[in-house]
Amino acid sequence: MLFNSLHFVYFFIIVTTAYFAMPHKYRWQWLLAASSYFYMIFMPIYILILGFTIVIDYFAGIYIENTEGAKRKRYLIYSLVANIGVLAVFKYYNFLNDNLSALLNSLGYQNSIPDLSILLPIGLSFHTFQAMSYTIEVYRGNQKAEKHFGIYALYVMFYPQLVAGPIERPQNILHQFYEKHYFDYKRVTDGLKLMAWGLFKKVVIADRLASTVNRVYDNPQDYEGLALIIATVFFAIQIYCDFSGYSDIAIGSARVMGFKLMKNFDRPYFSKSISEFWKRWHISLSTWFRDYLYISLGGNRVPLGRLYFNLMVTFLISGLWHGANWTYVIWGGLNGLYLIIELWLTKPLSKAVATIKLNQFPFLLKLIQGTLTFTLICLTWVFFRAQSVHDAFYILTNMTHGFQIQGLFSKLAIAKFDLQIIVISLLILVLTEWLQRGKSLITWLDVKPVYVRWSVYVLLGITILLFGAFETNQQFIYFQF
Amino acid sequence: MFVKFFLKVAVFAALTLGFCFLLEAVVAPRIRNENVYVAATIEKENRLAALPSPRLVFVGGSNLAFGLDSKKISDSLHLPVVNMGLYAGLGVAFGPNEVKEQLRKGDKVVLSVEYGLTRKGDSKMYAQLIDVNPNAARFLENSFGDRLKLMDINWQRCVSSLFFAALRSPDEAIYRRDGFSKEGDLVAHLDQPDPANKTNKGKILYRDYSEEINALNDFVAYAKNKGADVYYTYPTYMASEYQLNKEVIAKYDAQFQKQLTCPIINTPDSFVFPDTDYFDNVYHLNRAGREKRTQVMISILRDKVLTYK
Repeated sequence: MLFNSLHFVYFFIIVTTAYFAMPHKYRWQWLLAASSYFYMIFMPIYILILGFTIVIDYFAGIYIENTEGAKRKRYLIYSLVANIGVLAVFKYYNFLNDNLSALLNSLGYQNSIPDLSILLPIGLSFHTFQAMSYTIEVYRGNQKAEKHFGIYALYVMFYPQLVAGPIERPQNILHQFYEKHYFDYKRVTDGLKLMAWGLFKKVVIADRLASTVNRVYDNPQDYEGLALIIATVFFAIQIYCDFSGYSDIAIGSARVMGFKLMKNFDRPYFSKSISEFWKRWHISLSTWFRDYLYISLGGNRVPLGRLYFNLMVTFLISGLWHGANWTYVIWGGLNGLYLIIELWLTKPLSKAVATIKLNQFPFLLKLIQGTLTFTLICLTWVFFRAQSVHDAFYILTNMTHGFQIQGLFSKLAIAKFDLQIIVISLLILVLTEWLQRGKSLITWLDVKPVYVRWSVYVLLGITILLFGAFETNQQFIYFQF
Repeated sequence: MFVKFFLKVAVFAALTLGFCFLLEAVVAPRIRNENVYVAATIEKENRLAALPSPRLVFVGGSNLAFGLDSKKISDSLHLPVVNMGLYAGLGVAFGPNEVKEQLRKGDKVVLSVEYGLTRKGDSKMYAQLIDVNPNAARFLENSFGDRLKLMDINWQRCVSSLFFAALRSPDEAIYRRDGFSKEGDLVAHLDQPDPANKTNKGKILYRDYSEEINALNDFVAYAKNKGADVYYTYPTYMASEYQLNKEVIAKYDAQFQKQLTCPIINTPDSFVFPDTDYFDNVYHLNRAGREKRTQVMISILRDKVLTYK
């Protein structure tokens, strides 16, 4: 079920109203049933895969807690193998098999292993990682094993974050399923406001930019120079608004019912370096990789060469997490490379900035750093969005020529009305992000007079209705992962 | 607390929706252009209602509107003709739904649907259609969600026209209500030079067409009950593009042959003409192409419809 569909509106109203109306002891059952329905709308049969990993991890958690030493570790490994095994079969099998075929062909052999003709279960990487987070935390002793099977199943399946995160840690969310949540006016309206803001980002900005991005990236060879640059910048904004919009709706809908999910984005395009960007972008996944992979590899308390290795491995796997395609692997590798180069250059660049006295103009310095970071990130998005590595290289090598403005917008099929909406909505986005320095938009609004608050709410509602690209029926980009 | 919450939600909804309805009430009549292309449905529907049976009725998309000389067909076959063909974007189901009520015993209906067209069509075009011909709303297969979407599209049309400060959209050169003949053929393009670039080029995507064929079969059954006969013809298609899409078209042909319950009276290549016979689109014939297609159509109809038992 899509958050930007009418179906979700009905679902949300019914689930939330019934949630508050029913006694606390039945609420977990209600949420579990609602979450199952939410998931089964996509592909009913795949709930069995979810059920399989839930059963495995539930028992693994209990066994890990009740055993010591090598046995304890063995149960963790069973759980990780089961989860990664599901990912391997459904997400990576065909990718590995295709690469094996290519390798064997180059050696003059034939690969007789057939591809699997299966669809990727929606949000598989998200709920698998959330499940793995649970057994790892139990193994590390940071979380007690959950004895209540239903509550554990709800931890994995809680509908707001089931298919695209935020990827929660058990310490943050499991105990919340036991807490009794009352209808709190402030919390409910705050949640709804966040949902409305997420919907604005999704349907007004992301979905309107999507048609141009799709047009160019589906046939990049038809375009050059400025058109490729515009499409890439549009994609950078689209993916941010699409995914952070989804996260806002997820966090907001959970908050309405009284659950507090972790923050997933923190104005990432205001970052002044790549390392800062990765602290602000898809925080729940970045911290997952940091806590369970990067630190397990030794983190940064290792010799420099090993540190570079750890960074590169973490980002390559992060790339692969996104999709079974070399474009994602290169995307991850490029980000890892950026971070290694940043480590090399931090000191010399600081010295250079001090030498030319640029640090005396902090705004200009921030602007240069921010622009450079955004540009570098945009270059990585080319690999993320391109259909193939070949397309990505075509786009990158053809961005530098062909800057004819005449006829550009008609070639990109951007109507005047769309262009006006894009410009105005981006101004609103930048202004809102800027206002959120240090405090959330809702906190900022809370202290304003009632007429200001209500003007903002009504304007936001009108803007969504009048400028939302509802007819395009765009899915959320991160659903495919 | 609940009361306060629901009261505020109601006020929010009233203000937000109130603004949108007000916008529509004020702007929509001012931007309405009664001469838009889809407004031609009004004359077509009127002619269909007024003409005595038996009649020859063409139903489908713009391949029919651009590519038939109904007067010539009528004179050759001695049957009154109504060309209901208008726009593929209205969907496969629209045309059959539009003629259903007016069908009478002895009518011959010839369907012709563009390749890959969806059953429900394009909701943006619906909004424009309903704006000028509210009666046509009955012929659209809209769910409650579609109707809400349509309402929203209408509001967006209003606000978009405000942005441009052009309250009434200008008349198109070709795609206009008064560009049709009384039989329902588009004639506005006949004396115009062919545009250099043709649209709708490229590969046609193949998908399972059962839902669309079911819509046509429902119509066939309905027509049969009323004593009317229904036939299907493949549309015209530009030769070079036909070569490019031959395999996909063959797949569609196979599915039509298997599932469609009315006779198919031509083959996919019957109306394939050289590229120079096309106006602005792979389905839109110019004067020369229209003449050729009309001749072929007359001979097909003579052989397979007027003698069909």
